[in-house]
Amino acid sequence: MLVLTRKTGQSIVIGDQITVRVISVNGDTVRLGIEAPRELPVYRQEIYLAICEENLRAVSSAESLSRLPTRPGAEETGEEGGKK
Amino acid sequence: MNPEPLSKPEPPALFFPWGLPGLERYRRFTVVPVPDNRFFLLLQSEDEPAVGMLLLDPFPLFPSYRCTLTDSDRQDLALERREDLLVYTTVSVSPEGLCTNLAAPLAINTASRLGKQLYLRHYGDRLRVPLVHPSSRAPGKNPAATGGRSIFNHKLD
Repeated sequence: MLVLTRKTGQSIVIGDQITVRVISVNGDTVRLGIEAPRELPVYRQEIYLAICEENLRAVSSAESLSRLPTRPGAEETGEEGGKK
Repeated sequence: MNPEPLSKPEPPALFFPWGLPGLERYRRFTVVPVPDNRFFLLLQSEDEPAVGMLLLDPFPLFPSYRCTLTDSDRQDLALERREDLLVYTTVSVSPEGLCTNLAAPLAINTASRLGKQLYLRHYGDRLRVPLVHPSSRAPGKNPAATGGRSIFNHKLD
């Protein structure tokens, strides 16, 4: 991992289209300003990873479609969908 | 409430320019009904037949659910008319049971055929909301603890 030291107000440039600026530092909290092309999504990492996990689960769940409940009282055919 | 779900035999593909987290390789999808199952839809990859994501119309189950688009979301989707917007949430079989992700719904503009997965910060702790609460298994018992109605208690027409 590349490690750089920056002061408040300073930036780093990634490629020719992404700039990350340190807006402020308060204790262990850093505010960053990110300029990136509109087509590049920017997420907080923990949120990105959480959405990834749910999306991939939704994909693997699609593979068990035939076992999903289709009507009231039919949940027994989708046991994994109802058990805790 | 969503208008009628996409149900034409061969709807033109939807394009997700920003991709879907975890599935960035795939950008073109169609929403297709699941045979013999009216609760779920499938977001089917046009590029890889093996990749499909389970979806749900969240509004009948979670009547208080609000999916608010920002101005930039509207721009990204080229959304001009509210009635062109469809909102679905992803469905997964999780350790908690059958769950849906209210924090990151898919917004689809049926006119521009553009789609985007949003992140709703005020639903940030509702990434995995059970659809079937264990306590709801008793007939007539409303699973208030889940904040939504069980799909099995949901009135069928």
